[in-house]
Amino acid sequence: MTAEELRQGAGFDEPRGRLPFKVFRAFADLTLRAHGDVFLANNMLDSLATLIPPRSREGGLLLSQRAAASWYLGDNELALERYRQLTRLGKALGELELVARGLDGVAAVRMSAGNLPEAERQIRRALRYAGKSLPRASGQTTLRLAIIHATRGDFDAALDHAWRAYQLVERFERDRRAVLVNIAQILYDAGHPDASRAAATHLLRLPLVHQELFAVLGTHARSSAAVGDTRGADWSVAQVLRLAQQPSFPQYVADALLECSFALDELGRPEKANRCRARAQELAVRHGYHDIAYLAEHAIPRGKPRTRPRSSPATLAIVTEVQALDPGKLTLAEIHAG
Amino acid sequence: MRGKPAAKGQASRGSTDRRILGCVPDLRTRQRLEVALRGHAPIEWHDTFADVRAVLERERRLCTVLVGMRDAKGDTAAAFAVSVRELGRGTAIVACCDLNGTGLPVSELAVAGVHDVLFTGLNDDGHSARMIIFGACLGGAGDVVMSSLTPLIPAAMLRFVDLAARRPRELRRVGEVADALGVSRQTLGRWCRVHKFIGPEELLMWVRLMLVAALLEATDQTLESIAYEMQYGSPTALRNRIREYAELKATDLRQGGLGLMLDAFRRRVDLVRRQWPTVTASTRPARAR
Repeated sequence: MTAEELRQGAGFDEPRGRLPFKVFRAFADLTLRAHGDVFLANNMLDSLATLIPPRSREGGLLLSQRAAASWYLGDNELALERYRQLTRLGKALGELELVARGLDGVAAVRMSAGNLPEAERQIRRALRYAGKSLPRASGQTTLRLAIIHATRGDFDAALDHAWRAYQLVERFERDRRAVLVNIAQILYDAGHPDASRAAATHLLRLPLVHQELFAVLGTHARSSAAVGDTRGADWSVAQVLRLAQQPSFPQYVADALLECSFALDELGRPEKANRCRARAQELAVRHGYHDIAYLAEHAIPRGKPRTRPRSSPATLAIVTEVQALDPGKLTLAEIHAG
Repeated sequence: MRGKPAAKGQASRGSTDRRILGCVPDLRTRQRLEVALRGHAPIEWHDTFADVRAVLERERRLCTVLVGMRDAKGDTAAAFAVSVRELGRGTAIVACCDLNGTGLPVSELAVAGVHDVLFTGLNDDGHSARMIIFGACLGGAGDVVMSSLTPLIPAAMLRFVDLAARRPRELRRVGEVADALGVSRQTLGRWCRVHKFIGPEELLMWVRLMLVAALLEATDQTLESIAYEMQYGSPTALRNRIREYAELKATDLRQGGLGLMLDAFRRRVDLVRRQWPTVTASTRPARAR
């Protein structure tokens, strides 16, 4: 854990005020998101709950972490109630950050259940509470709105929101990486594999945590295959398969394997693609990720990379900016040499 | 010279009503633990984990075991904890760790099923050691209660029951359990209503009474000491609760107490479900005459 990560605090805390348990919460957050050890992180957070007064700002921040942990554990009902309680607590204490994070959490749970209209409604409420004074909460929530638009196929709006989120969290290295991971995926789905690959290659130069790595490698494999970079796609697939040997974050692993299977299909290796897809389906069924299981079973790729869309001028400007992140002078082998 | 007589409600604190076994090779740690428990409970020392396990296999009562990181043979506390958990008797295990030792395997101990940890020189003497050891004993009773109660409780309320059974000394009111769980009181009530189940206040009381029944059945602790430990207002208050909810006497609970309490709980849950919503979750059981 770097000093910068400790300073920025856990789970997208706003960088203000001194909180006595900030370091411990940041460590629990690292255990959850970077190492993928959700059970251990959940126990750490439960222990912290006995020490931090529940009706305080830090108690609220801890509650949002506990809600996230229960969501990662698959207990959506408890996660939803904890986020609702966080919203109530925020209102009682007059802490807008807690209210915004509570509403954003409710939206996340609604999204995972497929209720996009309700999620969007909660996100817009969260954005009203977050305003301009809470950049991390606003960035996180705006990114969620971008994902909703992308899921609906409205890629212009999705990129617009994602880019706005990127600008909001410019000061926060970790958040910026998280937003860029999503921008790379949206760009690919929107039919801009060059820009998507540039974003993914840029990300692969940065120190990524476990959770981000799978998403980036999956996107890199597909975008590389789409632009005809066979070596790049092969490298990404090999990395995913190597990393997937350790059990953690099954949702991300299943998603990355699915993406890799489509990349391999594009490269003309149907047998290996089928094996990856079968593994993705097996993981998705075992852990109840029905959307991934459905896509894997019917071999339906996300997005429409082959059809060049009619993008708005704003989208094209974003594409140009993202492409500039990676001038494409170095190959992946050169980037990772040594 | 005889000491000052104990106050009412604390009469058995100095008695040998708990069975505590120990396997700690370090003699100084042993001495500190003995001093901490002097007048409260004797410790029966063994050299190896295998000896302790042999005693536990024969023993039907709830025991607490104090273990060092390794025994005289070099076997580890984590492996011992796993083997004891397989026995399924609700044995509480407290590990004694040396903070100066290299690489404290605390997470390994937690995964293995150790209830609590005493750190040498930090919390292994006096009142703090007693709180941890007796708290672990309650944790063992909590394990027994949870294994019996789990099939009778709706999944949504299991989290509530689990917290109430594992932290009975701190979480005595529904609001406290709700805070610890991170939800509102109303949410707990709603979860109960959705499953046509008894209300959270009554459920909390049943869980606490089941802990009392498990302790009465499987230890020699008196009702007075249990009432004191679980922070009831008085032993009489606890007796009244047992009579009011389960229509039993404390002496009945000494023989097969948890089973009797579970039967009473089943009857109450069935009644609430049969007569829903006439007998609502907030209706308390009729006072026994």
